[in-house]
Amino acid sequence: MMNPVREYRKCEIADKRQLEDIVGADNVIDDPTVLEEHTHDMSFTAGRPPVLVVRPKQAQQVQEIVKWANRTLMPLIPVSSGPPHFKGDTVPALGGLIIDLSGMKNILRIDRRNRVAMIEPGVTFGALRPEIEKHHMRLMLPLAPRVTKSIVGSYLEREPILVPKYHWDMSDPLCCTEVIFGTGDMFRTGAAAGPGTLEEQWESGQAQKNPLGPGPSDLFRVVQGAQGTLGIVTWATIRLELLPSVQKLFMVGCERVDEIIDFVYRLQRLKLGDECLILDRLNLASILEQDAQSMEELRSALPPYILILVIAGYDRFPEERVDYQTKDIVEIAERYGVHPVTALPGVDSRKLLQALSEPSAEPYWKLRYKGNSADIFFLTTLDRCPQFVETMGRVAGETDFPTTSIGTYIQPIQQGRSCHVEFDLAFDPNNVMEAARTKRTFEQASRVLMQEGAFFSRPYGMWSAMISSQYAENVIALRKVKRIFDPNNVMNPGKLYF
Amino acid sequence: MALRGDIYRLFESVVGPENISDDPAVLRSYMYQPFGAKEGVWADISPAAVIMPSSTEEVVAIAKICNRYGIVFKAMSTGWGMHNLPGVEGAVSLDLRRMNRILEIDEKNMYAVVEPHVICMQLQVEAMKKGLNCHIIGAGSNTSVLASATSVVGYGPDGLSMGFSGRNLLGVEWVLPTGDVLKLGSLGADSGWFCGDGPGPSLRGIMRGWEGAWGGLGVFTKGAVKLFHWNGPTELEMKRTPPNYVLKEPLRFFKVSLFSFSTIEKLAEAALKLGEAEIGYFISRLSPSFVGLQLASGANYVATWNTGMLQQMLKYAFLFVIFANSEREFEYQQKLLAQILEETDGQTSPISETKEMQEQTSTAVIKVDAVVRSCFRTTGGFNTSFGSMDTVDLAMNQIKAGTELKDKYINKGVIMDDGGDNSATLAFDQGHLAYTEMLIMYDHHDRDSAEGACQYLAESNQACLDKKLGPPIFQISQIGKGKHGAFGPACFNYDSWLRKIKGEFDPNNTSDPTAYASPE
Repeated sequence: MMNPVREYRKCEIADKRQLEDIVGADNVIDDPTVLEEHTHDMSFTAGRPPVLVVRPKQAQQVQEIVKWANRTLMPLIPVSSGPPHFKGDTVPALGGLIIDLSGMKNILRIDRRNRVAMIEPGVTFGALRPEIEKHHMRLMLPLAPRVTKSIVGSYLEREPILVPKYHWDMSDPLCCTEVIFGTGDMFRTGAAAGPGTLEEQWESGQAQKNPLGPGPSDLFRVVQGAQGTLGIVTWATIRLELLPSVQKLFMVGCERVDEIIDFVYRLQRLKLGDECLILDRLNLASILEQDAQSMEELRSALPPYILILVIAGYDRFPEERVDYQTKDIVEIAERYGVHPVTALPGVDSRKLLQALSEPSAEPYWKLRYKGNSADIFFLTTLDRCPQFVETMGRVAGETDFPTTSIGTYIQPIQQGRSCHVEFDLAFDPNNVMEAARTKRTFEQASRVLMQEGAFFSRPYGMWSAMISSQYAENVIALRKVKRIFDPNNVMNPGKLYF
Repeated sequence: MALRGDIYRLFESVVGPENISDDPAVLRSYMYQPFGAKEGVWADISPAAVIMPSSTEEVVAIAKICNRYGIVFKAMSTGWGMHNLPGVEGAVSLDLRRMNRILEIDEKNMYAVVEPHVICMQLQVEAMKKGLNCHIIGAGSNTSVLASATSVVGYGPDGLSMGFSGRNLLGVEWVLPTGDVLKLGSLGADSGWFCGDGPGPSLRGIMRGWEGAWGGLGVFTKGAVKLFHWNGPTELEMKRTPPNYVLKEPLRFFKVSLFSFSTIEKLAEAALKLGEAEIGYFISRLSPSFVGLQLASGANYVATWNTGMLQQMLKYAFLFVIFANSEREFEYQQKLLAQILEETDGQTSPISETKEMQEQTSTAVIKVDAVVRSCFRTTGGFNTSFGSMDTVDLAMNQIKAGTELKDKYINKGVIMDDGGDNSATLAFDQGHLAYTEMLIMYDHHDRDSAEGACQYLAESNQACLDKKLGPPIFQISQIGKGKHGAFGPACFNYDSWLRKIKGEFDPNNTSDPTAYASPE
């Protein structure tokens, strides 16, 4: 771990008063119950209790807190989404201060002309979606995010979105950001940097859409994927797309993933269709049904893997767009020997379309089957997915983890050039033996998958240590970056390689 | 300033005697760089030697020697501008022309792995054999694929469907100024070339940004760039002789048209609507002057221009290309296009419907091979201004500001009368991003003209500051305060972060800082 931040186990009264001066007494919380909630999450990550939770409402307060942390060497753990958390990145490694950004939930701007919105980090998918739809636009969603999930948090984590054709670059759909670096300096990335204030830029026709720059820097990219270790984003602009006025759902069921891979490649290459993803029957059932019994019933009626493809029409000749794409896709499907259908036994098409366009209903879909899920996710190319699916099954066999409790999700990204692969290991958190077996399976599978070439691009928890040993030159380079933007290591110390 | 003999011999031991030179005649030839803003076409500073490495290992060895002996290096690939040369005395120039191999084309995953001197045309020819195509920057198909992806800007008119070079980079191999090698993204994890970001924070964030580090932060020796579907033949058959060659047969589901509008606002509306309708392969605002330059020889251009016909017909116009993957898609796109033109009073220019124009423009659109000759042909020198990327509306305001400013210099007679508005406006990512750069043509053999061009560029950069139009495309030494000196303070002091990055990654300031920044 990088120095010089120190471990904090308790809060001095003077510290609390200084923080109260910044954010107000009501926004500094030392209630042991609240602190205890932040000591762990749904993952296997072990943590230490924070000493305080602070809830800033403005960027200036965030900046003052970061400067204060540099003076006191108090660790800061930024959190923007509400619970439950799953990846361990918001569990304090050294204690310290939770900066709860969920109260910064202003929608600062929605710009229909330029298809962009400016939002604070506490804005959730659930909160923004209806506002965007009033302007006949839509958000790019990850797969049924939990209702408390911060949009800025999701995009900063590079979570995959469901429509690969809109994923031009790995950073999409994130555009510009305002960030407070670990030094306490405020910065704006991309076109938002200037010249001019935001108002002056709007006057000159700008909308903070270009994520690149200023100059030869893309500092939003170093904040993205950093798990809060380099800075805190206080607003971001995000790309929006037109709201479909017509949608048509297709599904392709198959016994093995490799039966549909070439078809998916072709669709992505031609940018045909909108949402495009592969789920196994457990994950599809988990998304569509609320309780374990209904899920089991649906699952038993489904093929092992299902390709889900949505074709959409927007403002102009929507029906005709759906019609030509349908005909083209059907022709391509014939060439690849696959059979898209508009209905599968037990699947309510309307319900599925709805599930793909909004946050998950409660309880969150990954908790429905057994109460918790340990997710292994990484990037690879579509042609390698069958191999990784097989590997996951083999490791599960070795650790006696039931393959029937593994959900699979494959999401093409970068317009089909790569994909996110996710294995969701469902388990009962109240069953000690089952939790231990899941942890063992999670660790072993992660190691084997990485050895076989799975790219853990978002290394949470134990994955960062695995990466460190394999990726030494880049870790050295990233530590240089850390020295630049957070020399005192106050930002979420103990995470990643810092 | 000559290299010391012992140091020269060290470099020689790396690349062999045939791949290094300090012969004044050879060095002088490198100093000829036609793109710049000064009188004459010769750089003021000569490299102390030119070295031509052929591999990553040789680049690493050269960088380490440079660090040991305090020699500055500057890498160049295909460049044709002053910015490709060292900006300090005693530096060595790394000419990467021997690193010209296409290492891999991954047809399924749609990317190519290239070395720095692979040019766009070379890659396009090989990609088309596999039904793929590559983004080509406006500077033309003779430019390095990797340089625009890793180091310098990356605008190109096919960006509507094939993006911006800086966003098209996947895995990359990067020799740092110290000689250490980084492999970014999935490449560093031995997982393949398919991703340039992570694990964790992306080092792409300090690598190039919007405009690129211009060789100020090491050398990029291999990189994977995105390829895109190509629905044309695997080999393009041509007729006539270069440079007037054209496609022998029209492409299927391909239609190129020049549309004109009554006002700049209507042109902007059309561009926005086409973008969000997600149609089109290529869009480029074309000024009357630029259309004339594309169509005619130098002498004919003047005659045509003087008739006033181009100015009248094409005051506000853009070139738009549909290139569909099926007949159904082709019909659908045409229907949408017609509706949008009707809403915006867009008119199809009769010029674009002639057989000659269709042939010529189709070829130029695919191969992007006619831009440069158009720029240099009339006056021998050209430069460009404005160029920040964000929205269509910003692009329109860049046009207005540039036109107003240029008129003054045209009236003085120091730059070519191209009507003032000689702008190239392009859109990227199906209309999500847009930009304009404003071209000027001048005679760099004429002192008054060259000085006028420099004054215009300085004034246009100042207009970017004053009118909040984004940082200009070429800040280098054009505003009097050095690179980033004027725009850093106006943009959250980004230059101070560059100096910190430089200090961490190039503590000896070995990779030429002239176009980037020096450590604090």
